[in-house]
Amino acid sequence: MQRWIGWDKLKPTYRATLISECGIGNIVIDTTNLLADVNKLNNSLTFPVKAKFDPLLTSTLPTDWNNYRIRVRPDAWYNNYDGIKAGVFMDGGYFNYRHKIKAGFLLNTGIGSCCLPDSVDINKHDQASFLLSYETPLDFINKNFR
Amino acid sequence: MTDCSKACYTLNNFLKKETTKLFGYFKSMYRKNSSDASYLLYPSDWKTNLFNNTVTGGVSYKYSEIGYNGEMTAKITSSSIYSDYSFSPISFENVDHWRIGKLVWHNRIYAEYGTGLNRPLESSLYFAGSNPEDMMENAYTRSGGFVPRDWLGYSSETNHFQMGGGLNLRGYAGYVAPHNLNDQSQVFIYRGNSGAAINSELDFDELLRIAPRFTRNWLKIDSYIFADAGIMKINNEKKDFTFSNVRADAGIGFALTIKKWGAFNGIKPLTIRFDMPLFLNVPPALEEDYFKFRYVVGINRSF
Repeated sequence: MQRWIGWDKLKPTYRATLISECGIGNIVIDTTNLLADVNKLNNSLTFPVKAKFDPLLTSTLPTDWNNYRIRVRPDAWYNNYDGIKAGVFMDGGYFNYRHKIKAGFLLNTGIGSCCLPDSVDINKHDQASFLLSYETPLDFINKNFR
Repeated sequence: MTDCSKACYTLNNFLKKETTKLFGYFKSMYRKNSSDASYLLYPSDWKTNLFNNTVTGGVSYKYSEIGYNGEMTAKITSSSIYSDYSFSPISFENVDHWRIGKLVWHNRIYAEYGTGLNRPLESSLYFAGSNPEDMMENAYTRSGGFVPRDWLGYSSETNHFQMGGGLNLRGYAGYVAPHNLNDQSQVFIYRGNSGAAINSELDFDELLRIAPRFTRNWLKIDSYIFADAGIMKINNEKKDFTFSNVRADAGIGFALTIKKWGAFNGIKPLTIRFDMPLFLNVPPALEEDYFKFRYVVGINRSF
């Protein structure tokens, strides 16, 4: 392919035509990590993601420049109406900064529920609980806005 | 450069600083029926089948110099689309921390002014601590199970559970705080629309270190003296600026922080606070004594 010489608003796009008999597995730009790119998630045709099972709850998401990182772990909690809750929790993010997602799903067992007022029907608790949160910087408004 | 452009230039530089953060969010809260309210620590402070939808915007600024650091936050909230309520509070908070030799001095200044026709109870300004809406942000206070039911509720006496926030006069936790009006009637000021407070804590645990060898790596004990003072705006028909008398408390407190949970590095530290507000300048009528042994338990430091 021809070399692409561009910077910011100088030649911002590049077009090339390739004909492949066996199909295209992936297309990647800047394979040698030469550019000071703040977002490498859009440098390839396939989304660069690495997932990890993390039962011991490492403290923070890895600050990986090349991949979106996801951690999955078992989760448990308690309240006096749902009783013991058990399920899975996942969090993900790019560089622990952009597109930060948290999601959790817990089944409420009702085991161990107690100390409720007499007027409360102990069997009317929710069958499941879920959590979904998304956070990302809104750079187009202000670089410190999220 | 005109005054206006100077101001814009200063504002622009302020907003570009790494220590400045602009934030905005939309929040919707809805409890369908009474069984949804059964989860709550203060079920009577929430109404069911009503949408409490709000939009919040604000700016926070962190500062740090040798010997002190802090953060100030200004925030405005307004009830929003499809909300069953109509209210709009604006608040300012400054929290700073000063190192004075082996002492650390924490201060908080908080002021809130609220307008509107019907402010939801869960989003009101509370005299003794955080409101039920803020309690939803903490996993331990989001629903019952971790706080004894006897420590909750409001009555003519003080109680034992206090969560940092609001005007944060921790000594008045669980107390309805009656205020006598000129016409001999009485209003309760334990929650309201507007108010202001100063909170102060002086950590002295470096002078009196409590760190047994077998707990040193996973447990931290902070000890401090504290004082709080605040006023609440009285809601009346004239809608003028009438405030309650200044109420204050003071005492000594301890905060136990579990720093590490064994191999589970990702679990956040948990702080259980035990404050003894030994002095109240307006004690409940049933207690009478200004100085008395009182205690409140809370989760996390109060600010």
